[in-house]
Amino acid sequence: MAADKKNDRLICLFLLGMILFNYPILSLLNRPAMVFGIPLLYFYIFFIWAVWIFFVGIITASGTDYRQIRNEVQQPGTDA
Amino acid sequence: MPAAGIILTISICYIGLLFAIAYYGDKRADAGRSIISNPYIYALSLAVYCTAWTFYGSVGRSAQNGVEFLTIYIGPTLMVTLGLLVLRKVVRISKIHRITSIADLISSRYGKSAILGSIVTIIAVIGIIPYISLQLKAISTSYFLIKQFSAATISSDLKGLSAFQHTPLFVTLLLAVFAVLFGTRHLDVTERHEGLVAAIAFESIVKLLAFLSVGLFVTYGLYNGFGDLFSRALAVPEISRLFLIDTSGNPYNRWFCYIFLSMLAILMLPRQFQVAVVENVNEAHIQKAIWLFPLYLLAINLFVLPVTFSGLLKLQNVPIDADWFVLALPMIEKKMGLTLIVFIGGMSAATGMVIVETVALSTMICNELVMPVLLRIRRFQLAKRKDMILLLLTIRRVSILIVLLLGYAYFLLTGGFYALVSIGLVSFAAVAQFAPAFIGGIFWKGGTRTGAMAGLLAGFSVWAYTLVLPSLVQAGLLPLDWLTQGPFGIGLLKPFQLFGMNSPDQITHAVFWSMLANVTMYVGGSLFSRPSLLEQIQANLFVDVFKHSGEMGKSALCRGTASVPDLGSLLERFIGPQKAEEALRRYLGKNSFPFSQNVPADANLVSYVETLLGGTIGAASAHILVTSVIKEEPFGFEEVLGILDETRQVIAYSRELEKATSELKAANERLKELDRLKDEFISTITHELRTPLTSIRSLAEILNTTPDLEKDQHAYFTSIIIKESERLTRLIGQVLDIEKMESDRTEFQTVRIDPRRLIQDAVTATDQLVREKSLHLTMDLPDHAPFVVGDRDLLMQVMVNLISNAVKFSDKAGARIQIRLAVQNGGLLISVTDEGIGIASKDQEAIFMKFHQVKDSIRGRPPGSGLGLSISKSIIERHGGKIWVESGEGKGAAFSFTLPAAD
Repeated sequence: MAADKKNDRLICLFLLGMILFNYPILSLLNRPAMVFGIPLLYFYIFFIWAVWIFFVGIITASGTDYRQIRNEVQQPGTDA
Repeated sequence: MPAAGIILTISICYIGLLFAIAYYGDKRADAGRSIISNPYIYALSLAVYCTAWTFYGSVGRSAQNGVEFLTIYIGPTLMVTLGLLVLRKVVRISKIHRITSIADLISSRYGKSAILGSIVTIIAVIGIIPYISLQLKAISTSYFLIKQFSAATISSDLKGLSAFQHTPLFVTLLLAVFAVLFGTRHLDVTERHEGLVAAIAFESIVKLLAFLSVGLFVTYGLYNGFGDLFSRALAVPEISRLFLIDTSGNPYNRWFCYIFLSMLAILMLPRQFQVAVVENVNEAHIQKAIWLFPLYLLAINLFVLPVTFSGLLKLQNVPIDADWFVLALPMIEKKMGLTLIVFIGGMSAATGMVIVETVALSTMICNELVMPVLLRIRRFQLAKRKDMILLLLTIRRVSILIVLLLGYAYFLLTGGFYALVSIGLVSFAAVAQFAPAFIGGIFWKGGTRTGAMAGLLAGFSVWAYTLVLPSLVQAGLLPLDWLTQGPFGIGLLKPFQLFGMNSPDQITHAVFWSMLANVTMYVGGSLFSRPSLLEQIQANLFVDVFKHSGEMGKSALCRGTASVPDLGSLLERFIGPQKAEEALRRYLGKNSFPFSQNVPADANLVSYVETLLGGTIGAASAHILVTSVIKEEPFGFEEVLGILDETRQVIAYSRELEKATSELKAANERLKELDRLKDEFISTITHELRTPLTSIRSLAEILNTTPDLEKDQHAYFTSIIIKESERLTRLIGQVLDIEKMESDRTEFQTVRIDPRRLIQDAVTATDQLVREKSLHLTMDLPDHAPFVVGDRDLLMQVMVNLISNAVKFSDKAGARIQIRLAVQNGGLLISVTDEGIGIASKDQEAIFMKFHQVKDSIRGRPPGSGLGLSISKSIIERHGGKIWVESGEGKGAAFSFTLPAAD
């Protein structure tokens, strides 16, 4: 199902993020060097962060439109 | 020079603006035209996560260890990807069960336990107080700093100032007023505060813009961009060491621990739960929020490092903590406008947090702590009080004030000691204790109340012991050698080195031990205790929420009777007479009950009212109240779930299960049968198709390989090939016909048809066949017959089919075939009678089925496909008629069908 696929991809992305943002990958980049005049470590973290967000955006943009969820849940009393 | 008055005026104006936005938001919500119902506002409201800690404290922290401050933002970034999994489920559960707070969720999940709700509330309050005091410190300090705008030098060492003690109190009271105004103006059944959310979204924008302004100013105003700034920092060793993570002292443990903590905090913090779950308007917004929110976090952190380095470079000789670089830099450069913007931004961040957090906490205190107690004190006779609304609101307002005053007290005790970030992390570690019970509760049916309580108490105790105790020691309330040598000299229990674990970081150490204790006790406690029936029901409803969507907890707790008016008046007291009547009318209308007096309320209505009430006062209290209305006496849980009730409910439940199972079984059988028929059909068709094809192929081969075949043999074989090909074509045509008929796709003409002409034309068409077998066909038609409406070609097909069958199965030369047309009430009866071999009664129904041909031991299989009658049946039935046969073996057959007359 599309929703499951999306969930799976997000979970994979999550695990990837856990690896990329932690030891030991982080320790590999913990060295004095500059990229475009910015320290390597900073550049890496912000860059990966931005890319990661980008992928999340892509994964969630496709697939199930949750707008119809509104109609699924019947709410007695006030409407949501 | 900005006089104190100007600063105050601007601040009050800004708060006034926020209030105006909130007011407008509420007004629009009441009119049903919500302004906050879009994913961007939702994502911005999540940004209440960024407080003065973010605004001021990040710079402070990064001045000490570089990038480590980012862990607090990476955690939420990673966590929201699980948002679709976790957050969506939590939001769904909360909507269905009308959850008002995180304490309500945990309490409701584990059997609507008031005790559990209170524990969670107390932990939350104790844990958040340091965090609130942090905000107070930020507002007060920034205020004092900004007053030094035109002074020669700025100092953040304010301990000496006597006014410094009192201003925060003033700030505290002001914040209390704002929180009360924003969050407790009225009681909402869904516990939502649309105006508040609108204001929070606005202030998220303000603090982002403020920080970006100062960031841009520093990077491009004071320097020539990132490259320039960093290269200057590189030149100073003390600063450039911040480019890297300091690898002494196990930094990666800390790194991971902070990511882990913030991952939990983004959901467990009362204010986060409030904006992400309770205030959520539409589940669909979550989809966008899970990348919009991290984007916000990225943006607001982009310039932290430049500001830090700039501060370190420029403010070396100024006695100011790194926490305040953000404000000090524009001040040193005498940029008044920018300074004010920064001040507003920081204040915005702090007030946003305080307002939402205290509103959330006040809801918890009121619903989980105060109400259950009041309900049980019979002297109050709460069940009989007329107007509850005012009482509830008063309780909440007082709670807000108390929480804020506690925050102030904490600030007085410890405000000078700690950097902003350390205080915040202590709070994170406290709310992290909710995680096992919370996450376990929504994914694991095995979690029980006992387990949850054990886990919470264990985790909280360890937290208090490892993080709060030390600050009490440092404040001088406990002897120092408790820290250095352990309490009562027990070395293994040293608060910073439990069981000898030597961790350089207090927080990591505390988190490890508290989570270990928490999870162990939660899992162990759950596995070794039996949940009550109510717990099991709640567990099912929560964990399987996506299967149960739309249902309420079905009448599982029906006991006793109450009348509709009784429940109505109970509702009235909490949500007002107008809304109560609306709600009841809606429910009764939906279930078409008459809205009359003294109709006993069925279990579903009771459940509905209880859930509705729960939206205002929490599940546990609502449960007590409704019970008391029914039994006219406040009751304890154990009494309600008496043995009789349990049995009754279990029986009802299993009966429903049985019904569902047998229905499913029947459906399964039908499906299996249909499947079998389909397979039969396919195998028969392939067989039917293959037979003629085989003949055609072999004959063609013979013709091909024997060029000197005799002429008449040649002609004979060729004629067979032609006949078989025609047969094949006919068969395929019939199969297509059947398929079209069944799937209703035939182009059905509707014209008026004269049945006499139709019969005559059919006879003409089959004349050749009749004469070939020397049979004698007669027609018996009346002079006048009513028209029928239908498809002429299809009806022709039926007539031809019947006549050709009659011909096929007549075995004696000279036998008669008679076609009769009779008019009978409202329709026509047409019959085709022959004197052929007849049909045994056992086959008379089957011959109308696909491919069925009566096999005769003597004569073998008759020519034809076996589909003709099946098609005819479909056609006749499509025209609204019936077709049948009367026959006996050896006695001929009479096929008849009816058609309705055209009117």
